[in-house]
Amino acid sequence: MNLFLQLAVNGVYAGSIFALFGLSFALIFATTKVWHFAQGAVYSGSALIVVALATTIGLLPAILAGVVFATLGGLGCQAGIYGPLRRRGASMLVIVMASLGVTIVGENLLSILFGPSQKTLLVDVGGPIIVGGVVISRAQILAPIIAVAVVGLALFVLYRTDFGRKVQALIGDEELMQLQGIATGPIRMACVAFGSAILPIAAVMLLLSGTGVSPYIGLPVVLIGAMSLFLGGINSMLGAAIGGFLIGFVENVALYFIPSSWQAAFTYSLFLAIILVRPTGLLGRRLIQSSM
Amino acid sequence: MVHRRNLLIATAFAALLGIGNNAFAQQDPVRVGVLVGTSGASGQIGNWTNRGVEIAIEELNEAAGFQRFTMFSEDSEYKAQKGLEGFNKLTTVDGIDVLITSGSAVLPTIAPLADQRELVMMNVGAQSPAMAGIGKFTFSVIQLADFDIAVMANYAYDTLDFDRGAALYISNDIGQTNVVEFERQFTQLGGEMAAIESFRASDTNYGPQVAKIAAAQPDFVYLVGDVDVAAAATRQIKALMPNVQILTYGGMESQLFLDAAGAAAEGLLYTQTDFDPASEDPAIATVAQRYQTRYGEDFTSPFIGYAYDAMMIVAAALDEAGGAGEPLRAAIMDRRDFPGITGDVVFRDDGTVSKSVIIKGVRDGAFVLVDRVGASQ
Repeated sequence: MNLFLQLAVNGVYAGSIFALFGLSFALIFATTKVWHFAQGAVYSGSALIVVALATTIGLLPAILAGVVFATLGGLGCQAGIYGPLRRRGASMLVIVMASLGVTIVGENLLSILFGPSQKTLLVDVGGPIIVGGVVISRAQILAPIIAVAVVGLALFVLYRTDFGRKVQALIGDEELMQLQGIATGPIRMACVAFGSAILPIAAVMLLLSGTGVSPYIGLPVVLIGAMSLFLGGINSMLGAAIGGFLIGFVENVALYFIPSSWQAAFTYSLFLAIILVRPTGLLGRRLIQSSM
Repeated sequence: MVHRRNLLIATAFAALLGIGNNAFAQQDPVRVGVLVGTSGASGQIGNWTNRGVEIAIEELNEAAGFQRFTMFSEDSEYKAQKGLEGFNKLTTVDGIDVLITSGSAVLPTIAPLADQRELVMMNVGAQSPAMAGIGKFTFSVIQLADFDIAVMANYAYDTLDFDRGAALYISNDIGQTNVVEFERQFTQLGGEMAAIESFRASDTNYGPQVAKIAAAQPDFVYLVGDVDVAAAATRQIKALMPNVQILTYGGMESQLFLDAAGAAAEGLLYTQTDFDPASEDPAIATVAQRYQTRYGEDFTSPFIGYAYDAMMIVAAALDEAGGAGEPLRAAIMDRRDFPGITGDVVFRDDGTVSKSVIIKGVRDGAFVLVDRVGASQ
């Protein structure tokens, strides 16, 4: 077995999934300006639903149920918590704290409903393919295809449709849009819905390789999403997806050179180094203070 | 004069009341605390422990003809902080006289406190070698992992004829201690540990570590982790190395592991105490029957037996000690040798015990006896 090639395959796989985390976080942050920590609970909740239902109603209906849960969860946070707080003049810090609160409450509710331990998806998707000694699982083949399709769809809508131009305008200057009489609420909600619906799809890609899911795995996902956003460039959807991919790829390939116990430290160090050299991220533009 | 006579009467009455109270005090049930993880990934083991103590107390109370023992239980989730909270509740609110507990993360926290309070603690599940001599008042009814690990290392090298191993372990004291001990034992025999990789307790994807292990082409992977984590790791190991042998320890023996690992669990081997719950030995059969009657389930796990034995040891030692605390500790140390359904318990000076160990495994989705190799020390 060629270890470097195996790690590269693993890296492409993890990177593809992290790209979806990055896109999801970036889309919601760019259009709402909220650090949506509750995305973690939405992620783990939708993944647990998929695991719980897959063996009874089948994988595809279970994924659909997960997508519905995630979409409603994301919209619920926006309409039920962030929106009312914003209307009452709450500062961004208060909204962030509220989002953290939702995450903690959500994790505990999920723990009561599904139990605190890790669950795995017991669905047979077929054995791996071995190419030149490198083992490639079905999930590893599927993940890059799905990631390219989802990111491609998002970018197509963003840059090639009328709705996408409105989203870009919303990201750029919401007040100007409102002055022109354009209702920004529905646009923002559509972006939150899409950003949230991506999460169970990413979760399934992980679950198909035997990765477990517990109520407490959400915050690391949010962290990856946030890192992708900074690495790729705030307000750049493509940048966030590329950032996520790079984090996943580097995190895996780095193990060729370092012990696994140093994996996280290495990734964060590299991230810090890049951000210090290029604070706006790889594809980001200089931001005005108020947009943060 | 009248006042003096009244005072004498009152004093005599009070003295009588005092005597009466002492007499009643002898009838007060001994308060037995059980501090185990009943929720979380290893909750099944904690629940087995509770049940083991419950049936022992039921049997003892029936034999005494009155409520000789009463039980108070707290959930530690097998975490140090939760364990400490449970310990404080049991000692300060419930006023327990003796504690039956487990959890390699919990015992180091509470053992010094038990020594301070002169509270006898029976360890029925923590197998970390660090449990040896952990506290003057702590006694382990379960054998510690270093012996199990030696048995597994020998079995891998001598019986399975493996000379190239790998390890994947959870990055905490227990994982590290077990893997270091396994590596020491296996390399002493002449084997080589070609790859040793760790993961964090919060990790869910072990792909990179498994890839590095696969590249080392080991005959087996020695796996150490919590039940749910180990189940996910087992699936990921088998996805990349379908033919590799996975070796682990007795903590995996739970339905949760089988359910979560699915087909990947097939062929897994682990060490367990030489104890057959289905034995025709009258002592075991009686307990098994009582367990079946009370819970409507078969007596399948040695963890029920450890808890049962611990409670019986406490009861026997209390007969000789006459009270809890230092007299009870001294009585256990004086006698040292107690019969048990999980084998005779002979305490060493450091409060540990040795028992025979067997190799068990997963066959057709069930835990079965594979080999009887590990004699007691």
